[in-house]
Formats: sequence, C-alpha cells, structure tokens
Amino acid sequence: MDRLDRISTGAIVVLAVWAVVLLMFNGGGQGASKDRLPGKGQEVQRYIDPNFDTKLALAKKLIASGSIEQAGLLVDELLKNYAFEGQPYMLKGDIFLRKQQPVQAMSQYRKAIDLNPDFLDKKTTVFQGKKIKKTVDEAQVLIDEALAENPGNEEQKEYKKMLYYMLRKIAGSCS
Amino acid sequence: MKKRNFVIMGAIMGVGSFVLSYFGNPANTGVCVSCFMENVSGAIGLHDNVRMQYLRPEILGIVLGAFAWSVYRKDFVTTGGSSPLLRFMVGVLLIIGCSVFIGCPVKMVLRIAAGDVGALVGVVGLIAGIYIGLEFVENGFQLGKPTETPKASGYVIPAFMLFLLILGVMKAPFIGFSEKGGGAMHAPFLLSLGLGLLIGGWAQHTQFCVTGGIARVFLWGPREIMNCPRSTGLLVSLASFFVFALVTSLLTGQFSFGLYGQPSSNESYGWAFLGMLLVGFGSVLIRGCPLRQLVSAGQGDTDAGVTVFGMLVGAAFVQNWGLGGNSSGTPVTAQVAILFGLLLLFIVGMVNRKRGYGIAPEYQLGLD
Repeated sequence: MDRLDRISTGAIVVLAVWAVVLLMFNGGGQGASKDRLPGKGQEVQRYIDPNFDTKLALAKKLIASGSIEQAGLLVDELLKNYAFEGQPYMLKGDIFLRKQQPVQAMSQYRKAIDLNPDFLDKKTTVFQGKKIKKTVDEAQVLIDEALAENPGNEEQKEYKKMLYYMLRKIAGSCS
Repeated sequence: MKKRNFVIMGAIMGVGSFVLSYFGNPANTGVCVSCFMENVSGAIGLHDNVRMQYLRPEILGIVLGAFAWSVYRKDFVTTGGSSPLLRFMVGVLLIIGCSVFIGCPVKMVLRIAAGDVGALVGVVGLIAGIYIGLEFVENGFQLGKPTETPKASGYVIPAFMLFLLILGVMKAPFIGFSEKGGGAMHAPFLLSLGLGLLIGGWAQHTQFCVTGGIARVFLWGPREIMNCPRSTGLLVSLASFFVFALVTSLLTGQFSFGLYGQPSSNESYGWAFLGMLLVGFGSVLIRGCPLRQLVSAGQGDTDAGVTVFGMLVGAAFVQNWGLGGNSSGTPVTAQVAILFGLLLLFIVGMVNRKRGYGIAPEYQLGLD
C-alpha cells in the first residue's frame, strides 16, 4: 500500500461516513419528484371542486375593485382549502401589493412559484413574471434600506435570502 | 495544426453558445452537455419531467458533426474494449456532478463569461478534480488499452443520434416535447443543429476538451506546454472560448456581473465545488470531459459511446431521483450522490492501478 492508496482509503472512509451521516440526519427527503410535476396528483382535486375557479375569479374581482378586506377573507379560505395550489398565494401577494407591502407580497409569490413555476414561464397562460419582478425590485429597495439601518436584523436577513432566491428564479435556469 | 484552428474552435464555442441563448436557449445555456442530456433523456422517455423534454439538436449535431468530419478526414477509427462498463458508470457520475453544479464544464465557462462570479467555485473544483485524477494516472491507473474493433460498432452512436434527429424532425408522437420550462426554451431548430454540427466537426478536428487542456498543465508543466503544439492548442482554444464568449455576452446584453441572482445558480458553493471536482476527477479517468465524450463517440470510439449512454442514464437518474442542484440549493439526495460518486471514483482509481508503474501508454498517446 503506497501513499496514494493510503490517501484514497482515508478519502473513501471520510466520504462514506459523511454520506451515512447525511442520510441519517436528513433522510434524503428533498427529492425533486414532489415539486417536479406540479399538481400532478393535485390538479385532480382541483377539477372535482368547481367552486375553486369561481371563488378564484371572485377574489380577483374583489381585489380589482378595491375590496381588499373581503378579498383577504376569501383568499384565506382558499389558502386553507387549497394549500397545494399556487393561485391563492398569488392573490394573497396581490393583496399585500395593494396594501403597499412588497416584501410580504414577494414572500407570497415565492410560495406560489414554488408550487407552480408556470407563473414565471412566459410560455404558459398563467405567466405573471413582470409583476413578480417589479415586486421583487420594490422589495429589494425596502430590504436594503432596513438592513442599512440595522445590519443585524435577522428578519430582514431572511428576506434578503428570499430576495436572492427570487432573483435566481426570475433569471431562469435550464430546468 | 495551426494555432488559428484552435482560436476558431474557441470562437465557434463562445460566439455560438451566446447566439443560441440569445435566440431562445435558456440563459447561459447556449451549449450545456449535462442540461441537454437531461432534455434528450426526457424526450425519449427515460424520465417524466414535463419541463425537461426536448431532443436537443445541439447534442445530436455534435456527434453527427464529429462523425461526418472524421469520415471526411479519414480519422474515423473504431476502437473499444477499455473497461466499457466502468466508463458507463463514470458517465452516470459525470452528469450527476454537472447537475449539482448546474452545468457541464462548457456551461461553467459560459456562466463565468456572463458575469456569474459564483461559477468560479466550479473552476476551482474542476481543477482540484483534475489534479486528483492525474495523481492516479501518474501512478499507474489504467482502464486497458483500447483495440480496433469491427467498423459496425463505431456506427452505432452516430446512427442512434441520426435516428433521434429523424424522430425529432418528424415529431414522432412517442417523443416528448416540453411546452413549458427549460425544455421548451430553445433556439430555432436549424440554427441549433447547424451550430451543433459545426462544434462537433471542429472539436473533432482540434480535439477540443475543457478538462484535457487544464490536465496538460498539471501533467507536463508550463514549460512543456509551450513546446507541445497539442497542449498549447488546447489552452489557446480555452482562452479563445472564454474571450469570445465574454465579448458576445456583452454585445448581446446577456452579461450581468455579480454573485447573486444569476441564472442557473444557487448558494450551495461547497456542493458546486464538489460537483465539479467529481466531473474533473471522472473526466481524467476516462480521458475527456462530457463534450469530448460526445465527439469521441462520433469518431468511432465505442468506449466513449458507452459513456454517452451512461450520461443519458445519469441524466434520467438526476431527474427521477432529484440529484441536481436547483435555485434553492442542493437537495440531500444530490449531496449523498456526490459523496458516493467521489467514493466510487476513488475505488475505481484504486482497483485499476498498477503499482510501481507510471503513465499508461493510452494516456501518453493523448490526454484528452
């Protein structure tokens, strides 16, 4: 056994232990299959409840007409019953935007695009990328201002992480 | 070979890639062997991610371009028999490593040329991997010298790619075509195919290889590099690739300097480093980066052909088991895959060593 063999053996042991520890403490549960096919099993549930689209349309009308409180109640109900759908989160984000709270709106948009990346896909009918980007830009200004005032603010640091995530999502990828 | 040819190689890669992303390919993904392999494997039904299915003409073109050029120049020689199954496995691992970094070595250069500072960690990882691989090569690692085999087996990969091309043109109903997501983002078919053919043909001519160029610096040293036309050529190609890519990304408005918010990136720098380390290590062991494997497969190297099939299967694993990096980071499954991948390469390196022996003849002939 020469030097390279000894180094290799050491590396193999370290890598094996590292991998086992990772598996033990994380369970490997972040596979892509859950979010890879958005709504594969979930859209079925959406179709069997025709009220979803009706309520969604009503919530949009309420937001457009400025009835923010009523829209908020309806969207909260939708979120409770259809937590697996992206649309209610988009509407919740729209409500925050109406309230001039772009950081909170961005947070809701993040949930929406995690559930359904189509919101950032120009080739789909539900594309809302321009609105999301504008919101993220507005949120960035506020977060930067807040962090400039108080660099140790943990909440703003979390928002900053989310902001970077959103910027990456907007920039796109090969997947 | 004249240095001009190597400069042209880099120019084709650099300009071509950003032209493709300008005309529809995903950002910073004008040419990416691993991303495109995921698209092709989805198109032929090896995975069911509806966002990643497209018979990328670039991939098919690279193999067919290399085939056509090698036949034209009478370079087409069918060889094989150098541990094909091990190469298949390394092919699988290469794509896993690339997917964690979110891009192959070619895309790594494109990401840097587009201003993605975070991609520099990939360069360090790739160089580290190449160095480790070379330690094995310099200490008796060998997969067996390939021998000449019947011509027919050399035609398998080009014929397979031609078959896929025909299916793609005919839009065969059993072939997947994404209507959204990365798979739906593509440049016009003829432009992609044309550039693929050009890259394949010229890469066959110049034997372009990202890892090969870097490996030669370690193996022979800077002074030797200056005196070896092949080594100098590979480095000239790499430099030319980067410069032309940088200029084209600037001219086409695709340059965005910074660490955050870059396309096809995340903040898992450690795993991106290890992903590219895996790619560098594996590429040295099988003599060539993923792009080089495609080109070699086109010019009759059946061992590289087996690696290409391994890369296709690896791409399916990445999608089916969630082994790639994404905007939010590197999933645990991908982290474990990287660690096991490196572990496997160390085992492959150890068990294929002839102790007390230097560089095997097949590596001395040309470390691509």
